This record gives sequence, structure tokens and C-alpha cells, in this order.
Amino acid sequence: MSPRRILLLTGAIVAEVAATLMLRASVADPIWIPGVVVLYAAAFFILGLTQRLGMPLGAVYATWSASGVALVAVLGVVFFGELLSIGAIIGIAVIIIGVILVESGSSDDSGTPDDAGTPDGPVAPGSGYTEVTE
Amino acid sequence: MSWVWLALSILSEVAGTLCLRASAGLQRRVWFIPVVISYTAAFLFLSRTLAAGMPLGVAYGLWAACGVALVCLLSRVIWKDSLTRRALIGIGCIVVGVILVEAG
Repeated sequence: MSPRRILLLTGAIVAEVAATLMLRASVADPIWIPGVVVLYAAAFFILGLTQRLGMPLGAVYATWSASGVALVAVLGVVFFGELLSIGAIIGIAVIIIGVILVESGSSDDSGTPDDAGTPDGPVAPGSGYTEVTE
Repeated sequence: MSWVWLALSILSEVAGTLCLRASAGLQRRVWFIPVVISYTAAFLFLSRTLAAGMPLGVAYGLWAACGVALVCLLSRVIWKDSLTRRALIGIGCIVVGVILVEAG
């Protein structure tokens, strides 16, 4: 995995997890709603940037989505005092194994970016787009 | 009825994600429009699913797991995205894991 790939995936996951936790908090207090909208938009935006590097969509989406589910479950315990069932704990372990398999089994150039435009096209990655999201 | 809303939500989410891919990393601006419409629709349909009485854990688990599987399958069909056997097994684990977490 290249550092850029790790950075983009981590950014997209953090934004999504923060948005989902705020969504839960907004049930009690609507003051969180703007944060939910901004962070979900940021998550999908960064996810879109991963496609600029030609990362295979199936692998990126699986890692992003599942890491979000696992982290939200764990952080729900921390922030909202929720309890994890045995099934959920096993599920988190299975997700971690799955993410490791996906990420070790796919490389940045295993997609076919050529038919979807040049991955390092007119706008250089990291030139201001990443600033917006951070 | 909640199943119909859930199916619509999953289809919208998958469409939005495939449009992200089609936008070539947000460089083809035309694709912004279907991306935004699809994801907005996905969240609205998901909220209809919950309003129709499906528990959040079940709805979100199925939503995420079906989304991952369909995106993987369709990006393979549409763009011939190659995934190694190891990655495919990993995606299978992820689908099972997500369902376990949300249903557990």
C-alpha cells in the first residue's frame, strides 16, 4: 500500500465515522446536523479522490464501508455506553481479517484507470483538494 | 414495505458509488450531479426504511453488506476491475462481518 492510499482511505474512514457518531448524537440534539452533512460530504469526496489514483473501487469501498461499521460499533461503546454482543465482537474480528486480506491482495494499479481518464490528470492530487477536507 | 425502501436505498447507494468511479476521481464534473442525487436518495430511502419499522442494525448491516458486494460485482462487470482471489475472499469476510456486527 502506498502512503497516499493509506492517507486517503484513513481520511475517508475518519470523516464517515465522525459523521455517523454525530448522526447518532443529533437524535438528542439537532445542533450536530450541520456537522453530519459536512462530514458525510467530505467522506464521499475523499472516496472519490481514491478513484483518481486508480484504486480498484470494489476493494476501496469494502475497506471504507466495513472499517466504518467496525469503528462506529467500538466507539458507540465509548461515547454512548452501548454494549457489544458476542456476535458483534466476532463480526469486528472478521471485518479486520477481511480488510487485511483486501488491502494486502490489491495494489493501486490493479484497476483500469485508463478508460476512466488519467489518474493523475489535470488537477494534481493533494493540491488543495485535501486542504478542503481537513 | 420496509424491504422495498431498503432495496431502493441500496440501489441508489450503489449507483452513487459507481458514478464516483465514472467521474475518474471527481475530474469529470458532469458526474457530480448523479453522485449527489444518488447519495441523497440513498439516505432518504434509508430513513423511509427505518420509518417503516425495520430496526437500524438490520437495515444498516444489510445496506452496507449488499452495497459492498454489488459495487464489487458491478465494477468488475463494467470496468473489468481485476481483484485477486485474496481480495475477493477478504470482501466475503467483510460482508459476513458487517452483518454480524449489525445483527449481533
